[in-house]
Amino acid sequence: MDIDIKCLDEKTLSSYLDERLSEAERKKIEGHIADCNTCLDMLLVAYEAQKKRFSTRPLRGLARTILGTTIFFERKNRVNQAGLVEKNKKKRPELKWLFTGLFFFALSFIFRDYFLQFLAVSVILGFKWAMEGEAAKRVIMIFKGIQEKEKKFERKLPPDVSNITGGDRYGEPE
Amino acid sequence: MFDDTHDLIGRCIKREERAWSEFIDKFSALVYYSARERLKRNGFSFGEQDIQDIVQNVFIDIWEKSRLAEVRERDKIKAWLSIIGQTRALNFMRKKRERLLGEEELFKVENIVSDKGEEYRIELVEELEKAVEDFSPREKIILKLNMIHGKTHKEIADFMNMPINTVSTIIARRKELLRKLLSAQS
Repeated sequence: MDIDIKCLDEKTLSSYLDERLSEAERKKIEGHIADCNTCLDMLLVAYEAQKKRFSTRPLRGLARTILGTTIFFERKNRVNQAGLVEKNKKKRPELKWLFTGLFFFALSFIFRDYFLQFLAVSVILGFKWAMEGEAAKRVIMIFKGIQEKEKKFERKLPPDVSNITGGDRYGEPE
Repeated sequence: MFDDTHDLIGRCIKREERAWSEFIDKFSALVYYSARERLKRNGFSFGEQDIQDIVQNVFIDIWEKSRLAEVRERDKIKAWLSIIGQTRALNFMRKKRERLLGEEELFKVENIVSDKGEEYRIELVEELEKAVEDFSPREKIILKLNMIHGKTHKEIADFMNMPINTVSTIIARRKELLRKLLSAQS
């Protein structure tokens, strides 16, 4: 027997066994379980389960497995989250060049006598920030890759034989 | 040890590992009983491992989705856990059946008990369904609980949160009416 899609959700259905439920809500649930034998039977099992006294001893092994599984995932998630925080923290040092550059740029307007000096420092720092950024690193890596490929390609080129006189292995030149 | 379920659930919501361990110890047997009872009552054939998988899935789901926060009446959590155990058991067996059918291992699917007792019970349910069609929802439930599930007046009154006298009166009156209807039909 499958669960009917129109059946009540778990929360509503279980609320029937709560004696504090309002009369209107009780009637609404009764309207459903009067015609739905699956839900009525589920409620009966829940009612019987409530009344029973269970011994936890036989299921201690299962309980330990459940605890181990749930806590394992919880800790794994925590570690992952901590890893993300660490990663975010690592990103910040890249930005220090930008902020310092901006700071010097602002100083250049405050101390007008040293305008050019401060501006030069801010430009250098700005350049440093741009070169240490992820995008710049990627561009550099791409260029390095292209250069290495070109070098390999050059190495594989056949030797230049234009300046060699004399015949090849097929015979004398004409 | 947390004696108060309300307090225990509160600590579980705060994701205290010790409280969660206590919660599993306290309620795993209830979920186990509910899941097994549901599969038995629905005539599924199942193994010990199936039930353990179902119980484990119920608790993993509750913990990972922080479902305890949804519980309105924390002291009444037993009913909610039992219903969850039962619905998960049904879904588990449905998926298992689909998987087996998909693998064309129909011979392994023995999910319907077809003994004579069960057939008689189904016939009785169908007969009663027809007879009580015009009764009010409350009367229908009371008669089904009494005639199909064999519940006593006291148990029905407790289950439906009604005075026992009302239950007894309804059963007496409606049974009398049913008797008249059936004798008129025959």
